[in-house]
Amino acid sequence: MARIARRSFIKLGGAAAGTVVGATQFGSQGSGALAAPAGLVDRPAELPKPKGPRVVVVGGGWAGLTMAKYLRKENPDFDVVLLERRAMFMSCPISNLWLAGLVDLEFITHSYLDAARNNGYLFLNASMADLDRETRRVYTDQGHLDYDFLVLAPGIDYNYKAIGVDDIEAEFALRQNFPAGFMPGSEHLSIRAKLEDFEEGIFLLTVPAGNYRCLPGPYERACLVAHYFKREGIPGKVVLLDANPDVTIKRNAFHEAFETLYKDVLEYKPSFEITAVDPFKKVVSSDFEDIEFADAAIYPRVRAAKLIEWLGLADPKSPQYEAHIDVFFNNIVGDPRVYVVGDARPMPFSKSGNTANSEAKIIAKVIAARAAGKEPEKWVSPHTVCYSVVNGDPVEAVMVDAHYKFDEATKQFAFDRVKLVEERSTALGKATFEWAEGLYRDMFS
Amino acid sequence: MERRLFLGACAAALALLPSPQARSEGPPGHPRALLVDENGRPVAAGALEVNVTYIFHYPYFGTPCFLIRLPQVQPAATAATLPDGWPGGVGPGGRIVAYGAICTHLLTHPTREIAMIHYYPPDEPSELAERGGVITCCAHGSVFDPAAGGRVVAGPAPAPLPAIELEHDERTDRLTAVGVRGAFDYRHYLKVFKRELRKTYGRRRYKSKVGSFTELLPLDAFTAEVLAC
Repeated sequence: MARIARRSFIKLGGAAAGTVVGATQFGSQGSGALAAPAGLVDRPAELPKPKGPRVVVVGGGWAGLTMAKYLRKENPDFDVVLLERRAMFMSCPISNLWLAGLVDLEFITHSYLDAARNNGYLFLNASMADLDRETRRVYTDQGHLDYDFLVLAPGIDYNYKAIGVDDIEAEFALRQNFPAGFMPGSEHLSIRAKLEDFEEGIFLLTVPAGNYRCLPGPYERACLVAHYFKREGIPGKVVLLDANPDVTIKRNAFHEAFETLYKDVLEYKPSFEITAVDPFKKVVSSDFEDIEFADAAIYPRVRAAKLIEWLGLADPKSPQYEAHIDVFFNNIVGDPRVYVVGDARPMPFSKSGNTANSEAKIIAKVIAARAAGKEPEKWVSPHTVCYSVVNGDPVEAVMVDAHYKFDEATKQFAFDRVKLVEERSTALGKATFEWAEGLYRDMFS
Repeated sequence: MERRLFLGACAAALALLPSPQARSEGPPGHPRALLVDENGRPVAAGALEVNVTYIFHYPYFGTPCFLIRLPQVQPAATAATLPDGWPGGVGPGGRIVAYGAICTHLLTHPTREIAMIHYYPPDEPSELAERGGVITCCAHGSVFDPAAGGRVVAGPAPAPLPAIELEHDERTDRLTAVGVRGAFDYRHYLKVFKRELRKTYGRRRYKSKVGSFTELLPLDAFTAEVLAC
């Protein structure tokens, strides 16, 4: 359902219908009425004129950055604008290594300006505020811009209600005091500081139910925090509460690491469904047990970024409020001008950086084809490649490499061509860095 | 201190340049570089070991390449599946091939510290590729077939490894790199790795084209660690 043209709520009494932009000051030259300022969203964004069909990409994460670059590779005539509210990029992949002090901050932070400069698109540091799909207009806090094609790659947000947190006071306390650490930025800086300051007791980590971002992430984090405690001689214990009945990925590898490397420092509790959290008393509860913690990074259930739902683009059947899109070509159902890529997708693919990077390349081709009046030929599976570092010294990792297939009979997606290397090694540890550096090169250079 | 690959090679090599009749015109823009060993003596094709990954730099000082003497040219690869214009192997039995050693996916390449892309002999298969006789890149799992023009057999690489055109002089048994077949964006690679390449190969040198000879050595003499995957 398209939004009606946006009404401006800032028209003050007496002003003309067309608002005057900044022409008058308060208490101006004798005229009785104040001309209303246009405000933030109801003015055109100050951008160079489009030099070709304009594609707006909302979200500068792994999907958005890759999309912005590859749209131009597919069609150099595309005028691409990348909209991102953060001023700099911080990588969630490899961030666990940074938490444990195994890489410096420069490894995981990058400049959007470099990405835009090197790949010939415009970077608009702004926040999306609204969308009108009838007029093909995106409203932002830096004004509005019109699109020929729109790609929404807004990523995830957290769903605290799903772990029994109904109270806005408690939710805010969790977001600020015990951030999950899966939307990089201040969350990760806070967690790192918590680790450095940690004295003793339980450091709580959680694994959500559902298709959460980065399946191995919480397990890798548990390993590396445990490694950090051991290395720094901190008498703390990592307690990992898992809503799932067992480790969700690289199962043998993580169990082996938990057993042989972190036996006295890490306790893994599967089938722990969190039904209540008290961030003030610092207690997490299931129906059967209460656990007090000294500090924590509490990862609740994942949902698509709220803008998907608030723009009316969510699938009502999606428990994670993910977008209602064509599952093969990612366009909003019925609207081949608007696409959703990355973790806001409803398909059961791994919500991870490599997946988003490979998906964006595929959908960039789809958009270029449709812009040229052609239909894409057939569905291409995204590619999930994922390394998990289970040991900090020496750095040892395990990996998985997988594609997906669509089963016509069950009408469902499943894993395909899965390669799992669960024996940890320093070789895979080294390959982890090269994997990440290659992808940063792809997105930023 | 950067390692200089051409220690005193000049005087030795000059005496051993091929005779004028053996020389042919290479494609314009690419140097004709005789492959020499670490003492500056021309490499003899017949002395190359089968199934060993050799490395040399071409067409720039900062752009590594692989040379492999393959055990046999696979008859299974039909012409239709070979990359356009692949000149095939040279030397005894036509089994010596050379390719750019920079993965066409996201530019992983051998450095002095580590090689994450290299050739796996048939009897030492790549675990990731589940076979030997291939070049595998450990970063994201791209696999290339050196017996079939460096074409992609698995993984996310969007293009075959560029083939380095070699000439073999049957009389002297010498090998010369004369060109590159297949598109490769050298400028982009040299820009992206500027800092690292400058340190390894020299501030200006890394992006200069090699001269009339270039050093060939086994990969494990070039790099401290060869990663297997």
